[in-house]
Amino acid sequence: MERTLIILKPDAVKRGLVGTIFEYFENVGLKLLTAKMVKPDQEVIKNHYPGTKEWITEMGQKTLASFKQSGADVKKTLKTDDPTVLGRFVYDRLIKYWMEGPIIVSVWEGPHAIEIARKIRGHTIPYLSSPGTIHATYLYDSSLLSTSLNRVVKTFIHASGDAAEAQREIKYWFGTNEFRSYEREVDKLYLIK
Amino acid sequence: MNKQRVLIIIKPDAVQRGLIGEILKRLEQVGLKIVGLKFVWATQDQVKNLYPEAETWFKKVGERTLTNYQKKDLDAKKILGTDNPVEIGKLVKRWLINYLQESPILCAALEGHETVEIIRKICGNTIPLLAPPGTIRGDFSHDNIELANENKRPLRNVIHASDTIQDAEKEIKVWFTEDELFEYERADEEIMFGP
Repeated sequence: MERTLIILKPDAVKRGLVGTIFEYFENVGLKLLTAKMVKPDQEVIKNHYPGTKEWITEMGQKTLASFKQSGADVKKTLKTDDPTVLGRFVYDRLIKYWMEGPIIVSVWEGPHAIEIARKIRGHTIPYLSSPGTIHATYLYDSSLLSTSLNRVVKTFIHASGDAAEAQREIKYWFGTNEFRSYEREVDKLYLIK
Repeated sequence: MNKQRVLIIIKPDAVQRGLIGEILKRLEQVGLKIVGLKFVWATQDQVKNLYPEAETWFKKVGERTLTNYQKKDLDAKKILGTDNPVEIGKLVKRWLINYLQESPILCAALEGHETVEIIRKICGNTIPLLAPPGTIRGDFSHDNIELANENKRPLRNVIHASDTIQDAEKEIKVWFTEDELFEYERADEEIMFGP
C-alpha cells in the first residue's frame, strides 16, 4: 500500500477549500492517515525541498524554459540567465509563498496513492493542468502571470512525486512513517481477496 | 460582535465513510474559518472530557435508555446487567469513549461570529433521525437512540460540536495547544463581514 504527502498551501486554506480538496482524495478511496494545520518558519519550509545545488539549478532551468516558452526576456525581468542564480531566486520566492498563511499537511494511503493523487491534482502549474483536476478547477495561475507579478507560480497543492520522495517528506513533516491504519467503507469491496 | 471559536470533531463513522471533506466544506462555505486542525487517534482522557462526569447526566442518559427498553419490552437488567439509571449512564459513556476511538478523528477549531449557534444549526439535532434535511446529521445519517440502545452501542451521529461557548473554550484547550491555533484572513472575509 502506498502513502503520499499532500500539502494544501496558504491560498487553498484562505479560500476555504480544505473540505473541497479533501473530498477529492476521499472520494477516490484514499485513506487519510494523519493531518495537521501548521505555520512553519522559513527553515522548515526550506528543508522540505532537497535544496541541493543540482536541484536548485534544475529549478532555474525550469524557470528559463518557461520564460522561453512564454517569449519573455529572462535577463531583462530577473537580471540574470544563470540557472543556479535563478534557481536560488525562485527558491526564496517559493518560501515566501508558503509563508503567506497556515497550511494543511496530510498523509494519504491507498493503492497507487502517489500517482492517483498527482493525477487528481493535475499539472504542477495550474494553467497547464487538465480539466477535472483540482488545479484546473480552482485556479488559473501560470508562469507568465506569476513572473509579471514578481512572484512564484502558486502551486496550490503539493503531492509527493515518487515513493522515495513520499517517504522522506512524510518523515520530515511528521517525524515518523508509522501510522495506525483503520478501515474505510470501501476497503472490503476492493482490498480483500 | 465578538468572534468565537468552537471545537468540532468529525467522528469515526463519518471518517470511515469518507465524509471528512464533505462535512468540512459545509462548515467552510458559510464563512467559518479553520484556525486549528488535526487528524489524530483520540486518547481515553481526551474523549472522557467531551462528556459530563456528573451524576445527573448519567441519570438522564440512563433513564432515557430504560424508557426505550420498556417501550420495546426489553429487560435492561438481562441485557445490560443493571437497571440502575446511573450505572446505565456510565455504561453509555464507556460506549461513547470506545466509539470515538474506532478510527482517528478530525478535530478542528472553527472561528466565526455566533459560532456556537451557526454550527449547531448546520449540524442539526444530535439525533440524526430528528435532524432535518440540509443539516449534516440529517443528510448523512438516520440513526436513532432506540436503535442504538437496542444494539448496545452509542448513537453514531457523525459530528460533535461544542454546546456552549464555555464548553468550546474548554474543549479547544483539550485538543489544541496555543501554538496549534492560527490567525489569518480568509480571502472572502472582508466581503462577507467587513465594514
